[in-house]
Amino acid sequence: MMNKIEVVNLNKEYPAFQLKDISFGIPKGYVTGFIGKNGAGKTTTIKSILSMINYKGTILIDGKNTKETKYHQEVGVVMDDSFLAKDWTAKHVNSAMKVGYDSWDENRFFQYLGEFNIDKDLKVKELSRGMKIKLMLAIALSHSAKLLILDEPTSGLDPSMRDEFVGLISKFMKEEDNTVLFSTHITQDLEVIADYIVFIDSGEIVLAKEKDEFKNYFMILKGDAEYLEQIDEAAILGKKVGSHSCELLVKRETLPSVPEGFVEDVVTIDRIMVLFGKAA
Amino acid sequence: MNNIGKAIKLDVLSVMPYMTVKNLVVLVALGSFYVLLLKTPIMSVVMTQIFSLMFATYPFMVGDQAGIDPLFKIMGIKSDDVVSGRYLLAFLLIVSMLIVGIVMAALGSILYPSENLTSTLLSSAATMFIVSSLVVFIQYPIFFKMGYLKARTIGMMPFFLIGIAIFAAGRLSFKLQNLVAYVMQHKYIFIFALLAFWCLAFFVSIVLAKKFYRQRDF
Repeated sequence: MMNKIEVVNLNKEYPAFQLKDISFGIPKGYVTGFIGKNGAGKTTTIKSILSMINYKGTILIDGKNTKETKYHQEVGVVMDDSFLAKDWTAKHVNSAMKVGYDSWDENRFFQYLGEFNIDKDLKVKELSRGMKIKLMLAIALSHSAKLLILDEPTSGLDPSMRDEFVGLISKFMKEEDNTVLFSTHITQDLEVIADYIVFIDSGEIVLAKEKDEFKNYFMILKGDAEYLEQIDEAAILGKKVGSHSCELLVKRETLPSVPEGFVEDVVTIDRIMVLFGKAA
Repeated sequence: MNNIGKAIKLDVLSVMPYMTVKNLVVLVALGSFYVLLLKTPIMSVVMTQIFSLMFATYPFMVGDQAGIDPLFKIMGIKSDDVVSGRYLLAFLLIVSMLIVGIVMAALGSILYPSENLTSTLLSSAATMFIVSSLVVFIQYPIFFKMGYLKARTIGMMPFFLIGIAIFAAGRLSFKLQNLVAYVMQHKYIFIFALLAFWCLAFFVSIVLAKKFYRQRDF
């Protein structure tokens, strides 16, 4: 399978955080969920892919090094912040995008604004967070992008807006070659639309796999805390221990069967993220 | 359109909401006030240049407040093109405001006629262009390195230097007269030296600005 994005040995160092030599691929034609807790390194990785920060390592898009190729024209971006002048109205935004994007489609842009009920005369600073996200999405979808990079777009949106957002992504994916990289810590959205999952924790890639394989890689066990000692500590990837009960995240292949005193629980992306790395 | 052109257009669009009629009224009112106060039309050229320098900082200010720099990156406009575009825009602002100042001075000369108006205006415009561009050459690398909000105070440094230069000129007026006489005797050498200095200052400034902006993360 061909990768749309290939991240190879990416390193970035901040005083309090480090991306540690991470490598992974984003398959072309699929939705890849990029998951991890707050501060795990998702935004730093995405900013590296978009060349917004300096980094060490190699990032390829369609097999070409991002430092040597023009690739931004076909990338649609929705990030936590809008990057638009606060005093711009939708008309100013349209003028700016017309300058910046060679294939800007203003009819489509205003059509999206209509669909999203965004008042064209309101300034960016007067829009709610949800409206700003929709405005960014309208921009991302109005210049014939083949790749959407979404960084925490649904955090702060109400459930109905999130549902609408996920619907738009599904619509975008009807084009065979389109690809989405969707970073979020709200994993319910990914359960619906993601085909692949890349999991990052403390600046390191934990696992990158097709969604079902990803979930199947882990096993969640629930049981009595007194049986905890019989499980090899090295097999436990994370645990939540209460006064009587405990919940464990283990690598499935390390346990041949469900140990005595435990039952296997349904694995969800959410539970994997919650339990991974938890010490107690 | 090339990326430098895109960067200039985006900068213009970003500051457009702040280019209000109120600004224009203040500009004309202040220009006229100083012409009347000092009874010399040349003051309007000075005033418009102060405004041009203020306008030249607007893209940095808007960039910092709205976090607009990443927009250039998202659109694939390289850092070096953003820097080149901003210097070009600064020159355009300085020149266009000089033209506004000259027009205002010409109108002011109706009230305060001067014998050598054309030559005085041209020499004043040339001097103001050099002074204004030198201010930009000092300010821009600092803004590109630190951003407008962090560098606002340090960015006032050129005006502080201009103040010191004016003060020193006043204190050393006798020696300055000798200097002016010497310069007038060697006019062409002086013009050449000034141009060489201007080119060197521009080169150092833009090279530093590009280096600093490339290093910034957004």
